[in-house]
Amino acid sequence: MTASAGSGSAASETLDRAAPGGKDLLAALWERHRDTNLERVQLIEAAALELLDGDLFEARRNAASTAAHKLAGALGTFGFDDGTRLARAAEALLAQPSPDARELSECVVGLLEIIAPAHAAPDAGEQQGSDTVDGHDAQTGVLLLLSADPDLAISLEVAAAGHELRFAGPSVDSFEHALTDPAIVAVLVDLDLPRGLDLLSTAAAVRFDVPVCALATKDSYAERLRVVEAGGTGFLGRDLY
Amino acid sequence: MTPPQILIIDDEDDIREVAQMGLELVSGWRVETADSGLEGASRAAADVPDAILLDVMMPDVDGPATLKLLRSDPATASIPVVFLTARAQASDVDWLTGLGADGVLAKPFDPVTLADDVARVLGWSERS
Repeated sequence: MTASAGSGSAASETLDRAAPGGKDLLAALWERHRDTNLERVQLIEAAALELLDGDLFEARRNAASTAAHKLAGALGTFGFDDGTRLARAAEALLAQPSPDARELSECVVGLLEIIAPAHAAPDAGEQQGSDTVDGHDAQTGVLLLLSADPDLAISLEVAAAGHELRFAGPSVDSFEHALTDPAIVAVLVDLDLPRGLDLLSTAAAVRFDVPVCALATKDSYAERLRVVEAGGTGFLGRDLY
Repeated sequence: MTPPQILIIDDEDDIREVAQMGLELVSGWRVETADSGLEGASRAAADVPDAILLDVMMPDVDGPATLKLLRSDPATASIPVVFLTARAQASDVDWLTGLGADGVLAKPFDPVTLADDVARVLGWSERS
């Protein structure tokens, strides 16, 4: 997914041919209304979380259903056809007497990945650029780990073969400084840290150009939703390594 | 020939603005907008556009109720109305045309072809 509405899509290119500058104008309109669409997704997310907790109240269901309906109409108009597909799926789920919490959560995660600003990747031209980051090969660059658990660092060092694993430690100041290194190709944040989700959000905002992944003990859809909403691009259960 | 004047009635700012962009920028049509059914009906009576693009699901006065308002006012009764809706299955189209709409177009829509789509459902092909 690209930063701009419909960037690179056939519809967007057609728009630019039909009206020079139209593609940029559509992208600007998308930026202006991105938050509105994000709020719509958050209404669906609230319903998904309520479902995961056991009960979905009717008012919450109705608000989520309306939001999904509006998203279905809006996202494809901006060129996000996958967004319309997910929103329609969410709307259909919410129309069922007992919506499947897991399926609804998956719709939310997909929609957030399309809409959330922290997930806005560079434009296609930049994405297709070199695999090097200031001279560091993306295949062998630095993985920055924020955790208070040295054993975790040791375990990951094995798994990170071919990469340099840099252990940032639990200090927020040192972490924020470490984030600025252009050699970093991915950031891993241990959610067991106090304010781990906030730190992940900071990392995602500062290093929107690289994957920012959460390492979590608790693996649930609700947790994954929170990670995605905070700007995380990946989720690893601690038992995976 | 003077380009058509269209009134877009939709409570969603993003949809309104993309539709306006498509009709104005791509096709050179003249566009007015309203963000509610009541404002739209009032504006339609004042401006008498060549056609109205009308959202279905709006708070307070929804699309069908707005259509009823328009049809009940002699000043606006004959203005062609096209619904623009995210729910455009055959049964929805039948329902909306049964209410007196002149056409139904689906959301999402393509801003490049929106004017052609409106012209097509209204039989304006000879006009554009």
